[in-house]
Amino acid sequence: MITALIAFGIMLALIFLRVPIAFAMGLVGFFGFAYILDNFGAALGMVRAVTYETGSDYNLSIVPMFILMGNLVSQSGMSRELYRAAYSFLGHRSGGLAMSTVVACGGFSAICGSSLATAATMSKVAMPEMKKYGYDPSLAAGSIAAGGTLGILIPPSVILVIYGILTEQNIAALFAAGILPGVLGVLLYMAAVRFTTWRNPAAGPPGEKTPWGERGKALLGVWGVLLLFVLVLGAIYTGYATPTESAAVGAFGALVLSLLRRSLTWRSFLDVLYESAATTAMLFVILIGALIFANFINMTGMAQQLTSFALSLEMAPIFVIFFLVLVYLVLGCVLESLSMILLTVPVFYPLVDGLGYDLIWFGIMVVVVTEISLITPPVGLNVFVLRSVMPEIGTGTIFRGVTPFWAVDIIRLAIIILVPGLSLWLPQLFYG
Amino acid sequence: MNPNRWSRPALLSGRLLQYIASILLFCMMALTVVDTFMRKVFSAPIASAFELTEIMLTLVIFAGLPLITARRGHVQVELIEGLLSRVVRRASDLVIDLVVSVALAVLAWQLWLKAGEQAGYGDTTSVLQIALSPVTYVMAALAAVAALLSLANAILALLGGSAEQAAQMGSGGT
Repeated sequence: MITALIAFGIMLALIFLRVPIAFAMGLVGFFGFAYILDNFGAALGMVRAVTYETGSDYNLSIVPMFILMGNLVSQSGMSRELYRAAYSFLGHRSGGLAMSTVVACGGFSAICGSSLATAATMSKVAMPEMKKYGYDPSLAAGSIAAGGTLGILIPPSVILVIYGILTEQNIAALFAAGILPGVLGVLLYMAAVRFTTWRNPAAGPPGEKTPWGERGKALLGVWGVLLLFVLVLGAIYTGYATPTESAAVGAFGALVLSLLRRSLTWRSFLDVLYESAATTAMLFVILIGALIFANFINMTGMAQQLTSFALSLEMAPIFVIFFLVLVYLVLGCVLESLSMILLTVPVFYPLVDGLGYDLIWFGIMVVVVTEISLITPPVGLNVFVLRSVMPEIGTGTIFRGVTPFWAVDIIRLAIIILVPGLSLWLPQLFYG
Repeated sequence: MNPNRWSRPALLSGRLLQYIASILLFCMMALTVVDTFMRKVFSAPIASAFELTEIMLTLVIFAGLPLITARRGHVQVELIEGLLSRVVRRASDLVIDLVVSVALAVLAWQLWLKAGEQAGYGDTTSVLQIALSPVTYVMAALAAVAALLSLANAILALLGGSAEQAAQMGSGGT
């Protein structure tokens, strides 16, 4: 246990000193492994095996497919129709454009498995509109940054896929579990917008009212999004295709839709392919580093000791969960989302399992905590994405705008923890 | 040392790797889609889809590795970046590039050993009987290229820049 804790400390220190996360984890894992066995040859063998096997694991080929699908829909322009549809119903209300942004983000999350891509894509559509109506930049940016976090909760989700692989849980069940908490997230974000404009009506003036005929037309305009969502999730839930196959079909569907919409040039297609390949490589390097580290942590027996320690405390298991949430919130301030999950889940899930909790539910909880970390200073990645798209808005302004959304996220987290049925009802309905 | 002499071939081979990674990713998608379609509609799946996907996944990742490394694109936490003076920053870049370079070199060496093992046993994939060792040799070679690029980054950190920038600046003039 002591060895593991020291290793965690060294690793976090290296990360702070700007060593790439994958290498910090891999190096500490390698040396720790060698230290425990007193055998460098065995540690080298472990690194070799992990690298080779992770790089050629068929089950992981689902990850690049969802990345590709997300990047294709990002440049397809479908985000515009989503926004128009949401706007036609909500735009005329106070704060209506920000609410439309949140709803459109939720819709986009249903075809995109990445929070960063969701935030980046929606910002291009929603920001100019909100600017036109004189929205307070902090409310505008805050709603996009927060709405974008839904990308990893509402299926498909790259993070849920990786959680499922780490904990050997059914990916389809995890996807089903993410839907209702995602919808709750949209509703609470709308409440956060409402609260902001209630306090300061000038922050979000209403837009124009859309007549019902136009609304119907706008709603029909999102057929592409709906089709992709039903195609991918339908294939997974009916068991017609495996999640990996569905992901590839989803990417292909996104490609066909982009071609039909003529939004794709050769140049942009090559860019999308290359960006997806580069992101894939980047994620796998982190994955390999984290697995090397996890192999070492397993050798230390930290997970078992943590479990027996928690059980020996004889307190209500829910307090252990609260403690874990606290750890996540603190780590989330400084760690990037994927690394946080890869580092913590292998240690925590045996504990959560040992306490008798459902690992599907825990997965949703972990993802929601990760969503929160995406908008928590100082390292809120979604905020940085927005900054890179709109350099004229200051980081401080965005973080200020995010605060009400952050607050309702904490409420949502509490609801998810206290009402497991919210996450587990749909998976139980589908899979008994 | 004249970076201009090397920039053109470096840029071209970088672009080649980009295309290879992109095409492989596209092929992965296409193969899975066709395989799924054939299985569902004609009950005639492509038996080799599984192993081909595995090989392509490996190659996408390892083709991407030198590209990411060259642009110092591995995910980092830039929490203290703003606090560092330029000299300290450059010095830390230098050390980090060297650490990354050594780690990648060790990885390349281990994969090379793995490839040798596979060649010795004559390991092949189960359906198409594709020899596995060449794939692993390519992995090792690409990891070695990435290690060299990180070393180049370390040297360039002394001058202030990255290998990718140097390649682009150099070719801009020619």
